[in-house]
Amino acid sequence: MTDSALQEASRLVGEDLAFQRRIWRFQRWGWAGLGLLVLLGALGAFGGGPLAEARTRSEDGAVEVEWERIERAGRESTIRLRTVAPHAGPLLLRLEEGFVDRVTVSAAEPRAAGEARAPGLVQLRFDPPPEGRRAEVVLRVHARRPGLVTGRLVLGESAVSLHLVILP
Amino acid sequence: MESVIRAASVYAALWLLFRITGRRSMSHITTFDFVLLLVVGEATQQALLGEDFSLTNGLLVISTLLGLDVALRWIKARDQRTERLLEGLPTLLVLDGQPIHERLREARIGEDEILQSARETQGLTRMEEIRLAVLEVSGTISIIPRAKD
Repeated sequence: MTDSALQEASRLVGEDLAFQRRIWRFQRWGWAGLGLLVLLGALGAFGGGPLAEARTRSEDGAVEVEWERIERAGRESTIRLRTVAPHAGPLLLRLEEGFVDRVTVSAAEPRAAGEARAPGLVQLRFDPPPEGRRAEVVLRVHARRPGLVTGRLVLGESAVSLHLVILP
Repeated sequence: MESVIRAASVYAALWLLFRITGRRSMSHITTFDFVLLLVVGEATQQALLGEDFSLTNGLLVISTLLGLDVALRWIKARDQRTERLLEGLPTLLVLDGQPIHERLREARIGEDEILQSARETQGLTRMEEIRLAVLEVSGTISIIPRAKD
């Protein structure tokens, strides 16, 4: 196989090897990108994994909150609120701002004993936890639309602002 | 509006993903490739329709996908550079019975695949009988036999 024969055949079939090699290079970068995407997905960069999980405390330190800061539209995730010290008496949880108009609370554990709604505000009332035990509320939520959501949760007197990135 | 954006995004993402994974014609897909395509279709369905399973939304999504496909074909037919970019170009794999190993490696094509195409399309059984083997943009391997003495 001589170079001239190769060039002639190449011309005959309409080949442009330099261009084709650029495409193959693009494909290899694409495979690397796909691998990275899968890895990030497995780690939770798009919700549902360690990278998405977040934890914070209220400004007064009385309530700790665990939630997923990266979420996908329509997917259910949990927000777990827990008092640091044992709690006595009924528990009032107020959802404000983005948690009212951008996020839907599909369920709460324990089940809310009462619910009140006002524009920009949802208030859930829970029965007291067993005596000497810390109070814990788990909200199952899903965002309706992609975007950035900033919402406020107020458990008793303790307020926490949470930020959620909702992916499409 | 949302349905059109969804359909356009899925179309673009699928095009990019299949472009990255490389050429493979329908005639060369294995049973597993076929099952994989079905699974891809199933996974895409929810992203396309969202929570709206109405007939209107379905028709809107289908119209968007087909419309984009027609538009892309129209552009490719009129602009050769775009066609080259979107479809790629044929690649020579065998010349005068000799496989061009560097290109086979780069195109991820095995000699057995070339011989399979040679058997299926020309009834040839040996590499020496092939004058040209070309990986076409469709993913098929064209075989041009050597002239018999």
